[in-house]
Amino acid sequence: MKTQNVIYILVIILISNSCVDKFWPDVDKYENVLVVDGLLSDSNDPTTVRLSYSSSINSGDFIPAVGGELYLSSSIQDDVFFDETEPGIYMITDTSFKGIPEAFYQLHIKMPSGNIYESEMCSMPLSSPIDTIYNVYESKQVYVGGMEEHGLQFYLNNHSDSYDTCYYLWKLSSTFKYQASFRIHYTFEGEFIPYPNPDSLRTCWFSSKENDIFIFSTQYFDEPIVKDLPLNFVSTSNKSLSIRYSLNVNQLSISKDAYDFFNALKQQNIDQGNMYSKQPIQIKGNVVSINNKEEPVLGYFVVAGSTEKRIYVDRPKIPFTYVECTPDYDLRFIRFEPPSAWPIYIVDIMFTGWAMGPTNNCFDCRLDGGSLTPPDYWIE
Amino acid sequence: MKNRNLSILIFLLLSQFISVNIFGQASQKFVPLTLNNVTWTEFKHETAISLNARYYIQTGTLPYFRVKVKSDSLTVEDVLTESLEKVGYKIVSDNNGSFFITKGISLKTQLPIGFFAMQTSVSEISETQKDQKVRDGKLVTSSVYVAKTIVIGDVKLNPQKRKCLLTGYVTGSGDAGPIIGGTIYIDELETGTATDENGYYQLKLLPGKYTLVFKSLESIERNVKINLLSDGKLDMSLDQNLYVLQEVEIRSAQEHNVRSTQMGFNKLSAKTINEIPVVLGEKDVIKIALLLPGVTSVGEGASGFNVRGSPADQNMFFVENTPVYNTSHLFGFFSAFNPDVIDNFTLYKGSIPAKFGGRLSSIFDISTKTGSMDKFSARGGISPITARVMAEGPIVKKKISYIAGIRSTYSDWVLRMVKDPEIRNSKAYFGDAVLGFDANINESNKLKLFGYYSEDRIKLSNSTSYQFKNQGASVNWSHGFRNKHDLNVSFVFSDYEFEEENSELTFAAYKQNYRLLHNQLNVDLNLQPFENHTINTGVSGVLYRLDRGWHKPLNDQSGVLPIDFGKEKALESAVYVSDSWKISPLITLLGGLRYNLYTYLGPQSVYTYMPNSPMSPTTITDTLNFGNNQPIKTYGGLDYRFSVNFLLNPNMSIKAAYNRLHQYIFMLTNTIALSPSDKWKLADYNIKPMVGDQFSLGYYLNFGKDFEGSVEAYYKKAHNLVEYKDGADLVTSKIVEWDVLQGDLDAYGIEFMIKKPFGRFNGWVNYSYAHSSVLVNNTTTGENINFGQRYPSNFEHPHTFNLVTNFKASRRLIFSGNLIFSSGRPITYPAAIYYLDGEKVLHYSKRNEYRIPNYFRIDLAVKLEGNLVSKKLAHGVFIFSVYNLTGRKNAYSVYFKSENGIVNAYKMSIFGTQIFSITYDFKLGNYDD
Repeated sequence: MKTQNVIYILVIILISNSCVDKFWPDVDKYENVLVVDGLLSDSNDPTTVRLSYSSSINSGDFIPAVGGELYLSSSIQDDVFFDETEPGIYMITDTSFKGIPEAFYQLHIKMPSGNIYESEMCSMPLSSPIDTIYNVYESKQVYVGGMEEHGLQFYLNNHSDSYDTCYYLWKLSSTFKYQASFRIHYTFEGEFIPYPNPDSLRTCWFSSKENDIFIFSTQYFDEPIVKDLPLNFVSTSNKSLSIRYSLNVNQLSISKDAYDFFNALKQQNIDQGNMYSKQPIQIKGNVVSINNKEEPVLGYFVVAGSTEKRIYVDRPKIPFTYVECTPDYDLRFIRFEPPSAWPIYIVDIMFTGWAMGPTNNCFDCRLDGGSLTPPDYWIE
Repeated sequence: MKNRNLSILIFLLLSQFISVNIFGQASQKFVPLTLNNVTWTEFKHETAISLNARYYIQTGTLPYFRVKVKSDSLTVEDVLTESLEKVGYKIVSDNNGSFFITKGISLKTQLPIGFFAMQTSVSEISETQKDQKVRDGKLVTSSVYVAKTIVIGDVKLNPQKRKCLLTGYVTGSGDAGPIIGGTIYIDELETGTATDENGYYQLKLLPGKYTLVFKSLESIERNVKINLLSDGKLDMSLDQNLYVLQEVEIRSAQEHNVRSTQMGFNKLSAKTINEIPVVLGEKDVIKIALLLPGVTSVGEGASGFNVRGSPADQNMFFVENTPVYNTSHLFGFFSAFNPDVIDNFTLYKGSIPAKFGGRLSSIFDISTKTGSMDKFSARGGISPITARVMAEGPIVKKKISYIAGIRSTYSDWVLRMVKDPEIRNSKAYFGDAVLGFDANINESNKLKLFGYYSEDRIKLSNSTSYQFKNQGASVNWSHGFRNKHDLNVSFVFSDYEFEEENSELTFAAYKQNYRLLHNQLNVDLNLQPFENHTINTGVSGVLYRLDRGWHKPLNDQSGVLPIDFGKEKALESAVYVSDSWKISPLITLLGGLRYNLYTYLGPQSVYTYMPNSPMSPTTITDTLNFGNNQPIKTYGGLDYRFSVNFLLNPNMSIKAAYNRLHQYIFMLTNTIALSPSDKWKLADYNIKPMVGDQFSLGYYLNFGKDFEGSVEAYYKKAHNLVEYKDGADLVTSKIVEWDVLQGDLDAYGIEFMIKKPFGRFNGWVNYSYAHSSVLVNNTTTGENINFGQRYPSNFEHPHTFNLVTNFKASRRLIFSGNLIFSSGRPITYPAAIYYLDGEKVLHYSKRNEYRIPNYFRIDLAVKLEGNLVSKKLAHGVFIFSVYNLTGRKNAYSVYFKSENGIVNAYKMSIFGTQIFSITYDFKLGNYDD
């Protein structure tokens, strides 16, 4: 038996234990390049372009590019101008403006330096309907070598009636309702003070964008159908699924060039750390400098047909692995705590229960990032 | 002891040794097992031919006996000692293939001090006697000294100072008789002559003072100063140079470091391969090749290797003339060659012989063992990863033998027991087999049949699976003419295929396959038509048939659109001739030409493009259709081989070489390390073949008792290197010319090596300094990579240092160790971070501007031989080894990743810890058998 163990270990070392450690090498070179990040769609969301400069790998700051003059020209509409609503954030504030499918658009930028940048002429593809978004209980290793996690894997099906080949970019956002582990019944500051509204800090709604790039193209498929495309995986190791969860999928129908751009970004990020990784490359977008053709411009001005779909999921009957808080104090000894520890929150039924230290996410759900009011779109 | 009675038995053979022939040192060569149990007369005859051995027998005759050759690693001396010692004979050899057999009295190795015909003072003689010493295992009976100047002739007889004729007779000291083929070298003129078959010599010289150096195979060099005035006579007696019987070292045949014209050449025997510790105890020729100077890899576990700054697809692997296109198991962790079957391997990286072609950088030529013609024998071993067994023996005694070796993993079984689901659901099986038949049809005809098979089946946690298969076979016939020339004809077949299944996404599940068929016919002729010339000539033809494969849906649920990459066919034929010409004892010249004719054959449709514009779907001007076997494009190329060796003295030489080669098949790869699913592609209508030139210059020195030293510098340039364009997608790149660019590779470096091939303590140490870079900038079409600037190759390691040592503490205990250092390979780091929709994105710019951390590793192994009892059934060896003793986490790669809004940097290491292993090897019979 012992020899077998030795053999296991050797094989595991061989096959899986190519170890990965955090390691920050010295990177002394830095390129300061203009970044254009914009989206024009046929939805009602205001058209926004973020202009920034790339920052050093060691700092990673967002450096807004301020003072730009931006306008959008098109094949069927008048030129529309952008306003800089925040540093580096440029918006078409005219709420009546939105893109028209199959029209051509071009973004024009003039920076205070006098340099002029233009996007390519982009046609706006027609949007396609999202047929279904569904989920399946799965357990998986979220990262290599990690524990197996339980959760829901979301999938998407769609089809297109407009094109033979479709290119998609999906932007996902999650919202979930959750509760802190405890209610507050009393506070203790030398004496017990009944807490006016025990549930007031307990229930929150948390919203976030999914970081991953979700893209797909049907170019290598017979039909323009996306079937069982995996979206995000929501684990039960946190409270996302504990009460009610909502996933909003914004499906953007994009051009092949835009797809190639996002695909290159995604593949390059995934590919790093692979044994057979490719040489990373500069990924070119669709904005060029007019004054200096050699000047690199990063980012993409996306022109897309947009569809959205939101779904809700109540707590599923699957194994949950998140951990509730354990109280800090035994109530029986609470009087021995010095005033510096005050206020102590009494989070369970008096005389039999437990107490928590000062401000804490165990009874204040806001400290986990949520908000006490549900978002406008939330449906119970 | 006088040598009066030494009679020369094989007198006629000596005529072949008129020139100073130091190759083929019979005393160091092993006696083939085929000579076991033959009579003395047969033995004498056979070894005279095959080993250039000469026998000098004191009594003239020997008692009747049969020679016993018990293993394949015995020298003539060992074999004769075994047979004759018990009947009172002593055997002594010199280093040059002469064996002296004496009766009764032990041979005195001190011989009388020779004296010249002229007078030398008594005091001078006694002085030289003091200098007597044992040097290099040889008894120096008189040290090299220069006597007083001898005056020859009379100035009155030659007042015009015309050229004078100096004649003489050279004999061995005592009554040894004339010395045949002895050299007389004139130091001042750097020229000389040799004695004829009667021991006479003639020199025509202008009057003057000269230093003559008398030398022969079996005697000690003697320097004489003369003052030549007119015609005259100078007879000379040379002392015999005999070995002191101390210990007999068994040495394998080896290429001479100093004297051969070969440069950039490494040959390692099975013995060396067995002694070097390797990861998980799996003996591996490729991992061992990585310890040689100029040989590097992208990283641990990466398949293939890089020779002198060239990509891995510029190396060719042969096993018994059979090409092997996929040389690794398990994606490169192990090599696909069963170590038990390997006899030796040769790596040509500098001057590649004209008979090889088709690869720019190196030829890795593996020779397998020949099955024993006498008795059955088997060996095998178990390591943590594999079990292997090899058997050999006669089918018809002394006529036909077989050898069969098989190796297989049992990792599948192990993996199933592991709890971790990622591993439990993985499968990793590999195995290989070798089968050889050797037939000695008659004295001059030999036939070898060889077959090779290797397979890998790998499944990674249910989503990706790979299957690789290599099959090869060769029929080799060799025919000898009058013991001088030989003809080798071989027919070779090789088949490499793989299949990949990917089901990571059910609806995009795909399957792809690939196959390469290689058929080759070689006719190779070695000729020695004139003295001092060795000519190698021949023809070779290779038919390539490639099935670039399908990319198709794996099952019904998959909506993948099938792509057929199509088939390719080409014929690469070559005719070559090379001559190694020994111009003088000191200068050897090798010149060779090889004409390659490559024809890309139909059926195929090819595109033509607008001139001077990028090849892309938009620039197509025409489609040309070709029928089956119709030539589509023909490329002719002339290869050159040139090398020269200047022997500065017997232990020192300078060599220079120039090579030009052509390569018509390359690997389509867009990854830094070769990926398992990379495919070979032929040069075609639009993709030109690669051409490579290499210049090298080297200094070689043998010193001390057994040390070989060398310094080699090289510069090479390869044109038409195929590189993928930025962002090209391999999987869907059907029309290759749309996705690749051709550029130039430049590499240069210098390699220092000191080797001690023999002795209780042996090994080597080397250091290389190397640079390699790529430039892809097509100024006509405006296409480039890396902004048209030169960038370091992915596998460039400027500094590498390897130390390989073996120490035999006793016959049963051997320690060995490696120490490896190399600079980190180049890597591309991000030039900046930017934001897209609130997410951090990495911006990369120029290629390979940085380097990963340096690589450092120490390996140790202890080999414990079983007992040395003479009669036993089997002998076992335990090898305990530790790979990466310091546990250093050597970087394979360093990379940046944007994860959940944060940019992280990581270092990946493959073997980030010590790896201990125990290997048990066994063989039938005893230690030495």
